[in-house]
Order: sequence, then structure tokens, then C-alpha cells
Amino acid sequence: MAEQSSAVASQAAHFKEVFYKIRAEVNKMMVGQSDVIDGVLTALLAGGHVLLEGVPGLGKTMIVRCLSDAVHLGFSRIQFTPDMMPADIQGTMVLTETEGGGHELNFQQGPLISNLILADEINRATPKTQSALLEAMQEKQVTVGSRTIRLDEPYCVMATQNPVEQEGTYPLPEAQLDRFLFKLIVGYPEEHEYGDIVDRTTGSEEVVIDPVATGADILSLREIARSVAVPSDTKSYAIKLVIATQPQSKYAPESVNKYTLLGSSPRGVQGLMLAGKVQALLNDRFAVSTDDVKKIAHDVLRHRLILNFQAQASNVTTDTLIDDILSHVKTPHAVN
Amino acid sequence: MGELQKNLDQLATRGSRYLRRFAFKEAMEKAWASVGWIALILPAVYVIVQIYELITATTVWPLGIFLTIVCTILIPVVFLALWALIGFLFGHIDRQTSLALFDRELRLKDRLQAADEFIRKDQTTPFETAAISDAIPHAQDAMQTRLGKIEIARPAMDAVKWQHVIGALVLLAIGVTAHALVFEPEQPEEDQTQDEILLLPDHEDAQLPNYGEEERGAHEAMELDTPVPEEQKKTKIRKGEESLSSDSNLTEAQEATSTPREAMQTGLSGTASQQNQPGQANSSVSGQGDPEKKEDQEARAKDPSKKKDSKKKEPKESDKDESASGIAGGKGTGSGQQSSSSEMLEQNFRSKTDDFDDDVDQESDDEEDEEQESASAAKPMLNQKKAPVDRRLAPSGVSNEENEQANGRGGAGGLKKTRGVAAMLLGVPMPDKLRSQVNIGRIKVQRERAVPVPNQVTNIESEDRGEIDESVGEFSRPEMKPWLSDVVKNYFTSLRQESSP
Repeated sequence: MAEQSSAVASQAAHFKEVFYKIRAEVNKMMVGQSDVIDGVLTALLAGGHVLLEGVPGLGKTMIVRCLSDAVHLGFSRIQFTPDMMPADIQGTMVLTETEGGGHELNFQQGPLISNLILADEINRATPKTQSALLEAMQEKQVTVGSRTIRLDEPYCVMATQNPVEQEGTYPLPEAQLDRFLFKLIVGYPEEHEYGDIVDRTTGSEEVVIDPVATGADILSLREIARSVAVPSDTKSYAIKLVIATQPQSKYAPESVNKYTLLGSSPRGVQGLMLAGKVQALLNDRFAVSTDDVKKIAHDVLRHRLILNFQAQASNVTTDTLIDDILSHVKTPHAVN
Repeated sequence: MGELQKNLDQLATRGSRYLRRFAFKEAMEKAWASVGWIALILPAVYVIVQIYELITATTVWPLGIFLTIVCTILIPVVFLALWALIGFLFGHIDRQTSLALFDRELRLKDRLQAADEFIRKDQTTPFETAAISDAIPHAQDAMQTRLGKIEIARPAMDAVKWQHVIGALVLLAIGVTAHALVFEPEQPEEDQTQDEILLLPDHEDAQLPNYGEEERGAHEAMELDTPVPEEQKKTKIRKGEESLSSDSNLTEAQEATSTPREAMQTGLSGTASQQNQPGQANSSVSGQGDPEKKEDQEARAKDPSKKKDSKKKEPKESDKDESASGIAGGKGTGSGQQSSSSEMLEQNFRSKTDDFDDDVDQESDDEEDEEQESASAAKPMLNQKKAPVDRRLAPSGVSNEENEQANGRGGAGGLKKTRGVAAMLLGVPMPDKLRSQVNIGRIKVQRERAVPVPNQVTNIESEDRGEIDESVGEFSRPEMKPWLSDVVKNYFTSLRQESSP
């Protein structure tokens, strides 16, 4: 038992080590935004996709670029525009000339077929093009015509969107939002961070990000994360939290009943568990605790709650509702 | 592993002892859920017993009203206290809850709880085994930890079924009311005798209230001086006409009003036929209302059932009284209140003289009620009845001044009711569904026969275009690469060869 424990402990230590190495590489370029970087890395190691929301100029795209450099994975960036078609991102059949002078139709793969996808300003694409991502994100495959292409693991879509410039945008459908593990809010940097940003971006010194992990490393780290134990109390707590997001449910607080149109799907629990496992490993534990679940609850559930008009009129956000849920749903075996 | 198990057991025991207050709270919260039902029991039984007593006219309920109310409150309270006490003394604290106490105290992030769960499993995964191993040092630390004072919230009262509590109160109120109906205080013997003395004409010991001369005079003056509004007088007179059968009664009433005492004596000593004339009876006692009224009120106060009956009758009686007082008022004699008292006296008197039979009395009351209803309630709003609506349609623009409601409608309000083809037409103009487009109405298609007319065609002869004097310009000819020109040349050569025989 001791050997088994020490092996698991070394795996957990390796996990933590790689995590912090990648973070350190990304931090060479990025100043601040530690929560966002941790979130992106957590999602990558948990096997989920990330939606980054923030106003322009906060480094959303930069984070993903740096991450792709640090993990040495195939990277492609798609700048979504309203006239983009599914074939533009998935790929299409192209007539090519053969060596013998003949012609044949070949599949020219789109930028979606890679490891790390940066879907920049995803809400600028039409729903038709946005939906082209659904299959890739959930089933990790792309179907064009009669051809289905299995995507290489690790596969991670990191999308960005601007919450302010809403004109000429197409809000992401619920089905697509649900497929993102995290929705991270990128905020403005702190005052003391501005100086570093200026130095790093306007100085003559070029920042070089070294790859510290490969795709295989990421896959092995994912395996470690999935092995983390989950006590039944923590599981039931996560389930209660997700049920509490559904209006008129058993655990829903009054505010959820009043302001929510749609609650989280079971994907929410999956997200809470996967991200909770990564959190447990980062905190030197081998089992997920309720505190881990609480910590990532906002990031996991934020985009899964669809608010009604009354909430929008009252300036109620999903974060306030999640706060309500966290205070309403009792942790297991609480005595007060 | 064994040591960890032992430590966890000890921690669970310690935590369980420490959390007695929590057990108390949990017991209270459970008890709150049942308090509503418990509170309902006694009032429900009380109401059932009271109804039974009302039906069978027996006394079964052993407690008084006050004691019943006290018990209604006391039973749920005692239940709650007992339950909480049992919870406090024998309440079971969950093992995980006890361990969670140490997890929180030492900020172990559920390590002890997780280890306790995993250690009970037959087969554990490597990570579960690691979690158990991880908990061993923390469990040892917890063994030496002294728990601080924890804040335990007050028992939540969410589970209280307030509707049951309110229901219990309502049931109690119903029971008390039913009790009041069943156990109405019986009239003292003396009072009953006095009533009989007063009302029985044949009773020799009958003692009538003896007014002094001055008192009587003042009383009469009050009656005469009481102003009655003109309109009220008219109404009363009309009602009086309806209620009274003849003018003779009116005259008699007037006479009786002028000499109340005599009339009283007459009434008391008169025959049954005389007593049955309402006008006479009403007026006969109207003059001496006050003393009689006092006695009547006393009798009513003593007898709640009578009081209720009298309450029921009041509005009807007042109608009747109004008729009587209207007669008196028209002549400037009586007042409504006095007539009311005289009416009651007359009723009592009449009933007593009819062999004092209660059933008969009840019947007579019912008959009177029916009479009164036929006089007033059967045709309500009779005075407000309007002329029937004229169904004839007046030409538009011509107002029917005689009858404003002669609009062709079936009555006030509602939709237009017409008959025939007019009913089938749309009475209310409906806006077009397409805005800014007037409905063109029905489109009528009419077929017409037309004779085909041949087109007139004029022939134009062709002309010679003549020669082109100027150059047509340069045609752009892309220069082909040698290999491409060879390809094209070969292509056309082969094409020609294939086509040639």
C-alpha cells in the first residue's frame, strides 16, 4: 500500500510540476491574469474547452498563443467573421492535378484540424459556422461530406469573445456554450502590472517561450487527473449545486427561480468533477473536496445559466446567482 | 490502516459528544414539521364533540373553554419540548458529521471524511489508497486537537406547517362557537315567570309597568315631536299600504298611538281576533315602548338563542316596523323603534296566547317571514324598475326621446341583438389586417367575350450594309508559351485527323 501511495504521490507531484512549468512559461509573456492562466491550464489538463470573455486588448489571444508555444502542440488560429462558412474551418474537397496530368478531388483540411485551436471572436461567426465546431468539440471529429476525420488528442478549443461589441455578432447557442468547460472572464490588469506590460511589449528584448511539455505529456497528465478519487459527499454536493441552477428545482434558491430561464445540464457536474480533480492535485490531495468544487463553481457554471429578461432588466448576473446557490446549498455534514 | 481506523472511531465519538447541541437542533427541526399536525388534533376532536353535543343535546366534553384553549396551545409545546429533549439525550450524530467537525477545525479539506469513506471499501483505487495514507498524520493531529466553540444556528422553522396551525385556531374558534350554541345559559326561573306574567292576558298576577303621569306625558311628547323626513314618510306610507290591509287599521293604529296605555290594556284583554290584526297590535303598544323594550332586551340578553332569532328577524321586523311607524309618522304619532318593540310584544303575546306552543310559534314566525319576504324581498328594486326596452330600431340619427333605451338592443349593455340577415353582417367595423390598405371588398369577376384581332405586320426589306472603311482595331491575342502552343497545335491536329476519314 505504501508503494502504491508513493507512486500516486509521485504522479501527483509530476502533474503539479508540469502545470507550474507551463504556467511559468506563459508568465514570461503574460503579466498578471494568473486566475485566467490557471483556468486555461486547468481546462487543458481536464480535457475541456475554454471560452475567454473580455474587452479587446486584455491579452486573451496572447494567453492562448503563449500556451500553444509552451506545450508544443499543433496550433491554429481562426479569426471568425460573419461571412465565414463551415467549409472554411472544417475543410473542403479541392480539385487538384495529379502527377500524370489527371485531376482528382482531395480533402483540404481546415484550421479546425489541429491540437490547440484559437477561435478568435467566435461570436462574430454565423450560427451555421459556430455549429461546425460542435462536433469537433464534443466528439473530437470532423465530418465533411462522407468523410469523418478523427482529431488528434489533445484537442482543445479556446474561444474568445468580446462582451461589449455586440453589434454584428451572433450569441453562441446554448448547445455550444454547454460544450465549454470553463467560461473565464478576463479583467483589466492591476495598476502595478501595467509597468511590466509596457516593458515586455515595447522593449527591445524579445520574449522567447520554450516548450516544456508535449502532447503526450498533456495526455498523461489528463489520465492522472481523471484518476483522482471523489468521495460520495463531494459528488452529491456537486450534483446539488447543478440541480440548484435549474429553476423550480428542489435546491434552487429563490433568486434562481426568479431570474433563471434555463439551468445547467449534467455536463455541469462533469465539469465540476473534472476541474475539481485538477484542483485537488494542485492542492496536494488525492481526493476532491467540497472546497475544490466551490472554487471552480463560478467558472464551470457561469455560462450554463441562461437568464431571463427580468434578470437582465435587474442587472442580475450569473455570478451573483451562483453566489446565491453556493450560500443556499449546504455543504455536506455542515453543523451550522 | 488499523491505527487510522481507531483514530477515526475515536474522533467520531468525540465529535458526536460535542455535537449534542446539533442533535438538539436537528430534533427541533424535525419536530417543527409535526407541530402543525399535533396542534390540529385537539381542536378537531373538540369541534367533532361539540357538533355531537349540538345534535344530541348532551354534554360529553369534559374540559371548559379556557382549559381547551390552554390545552390546544400546550400540547404542541410539550410535544416540541419532549422531542427536543429526546433528541438531545439520545440523538444520533452522523459519523461523517463528527469527522467533518475536525476537518473544518483543522482545515483538512475533507481529508478525514474521505479517508473514512475509502477505508470502508473492499477495493480501493490507488488514489483512494493514497487519500487514506494522506489522512493518517492528519488524524493523529486531530486526536490532539481541542475543539473550539462552534456556532450552531437556531433551528430553522421552515418546516412548520403554518396552515395547520391556523387551521387549528379556526377549528378552536368553531368549537367555541358551537359550544356557545349548545350551552346557552338557561333563563332564571324568575325571569321566565315575569315574562309570562307580562304577556299572559289570563294570568291574574300580571303586573304591567306602571308609568307615572309625567313620564307618560313626556314619552308621548317624544313620539309626537320626533321629526320624520318627508321622503321617508312617503316611502313608509307606501310600504304601510302594502303591509296593512285596510285604512281602518291605520285609523285604529292612530287611535291606539294616541292612547297607548289604554291600547295596551285593550291588547292584553282583547280577543284573539283583535290581536291578530297587525295594525292594531302594532299601534296598540307603540306608545309604551320603553319599559317593554327594556324587558324585552333583558329577556334577549338572558336567552342567546332568542337573541339570535331576534337578530335574524331584525331586518324583516324593521321593515314591518317601518311600515307601522310610517303610518304613525304620517300622522305624526309613533317612531320606528317603539313600533319595533310593540311588534315584538305583539308577537310574543300572540304566541303565548296560542297555548304557548313553541312549534306553533316557530311556524307563525316562519309565516311572518314569508309574508315579509313576499312584501319586500320577492320583488326587490321594484321602485327602480324601468320601462321595458323598446326593441324597435329607430332610424340612425333620430333619437328616441321618449325612451332612451329604444336602441334595438335586448337590454342594457351587451352585444347588439338583431334578427334576420342583419344579424349575419358584421356589426363592428374591423380594421384591415394589412395596414394602410383599404379592404377592396368582394372582387367580382366578369367574363366577356372578345373577338381576336389580327396584328398588322409591315414587311421590311433587307438592305446592304456596305463596306467597312475603317480598321476594326487590334484583337488581343495572348502570347502563348511555346509548349502551350505546341499542345494546342497538337490538339487541333489530332482532332482534325480523327474527324477526317
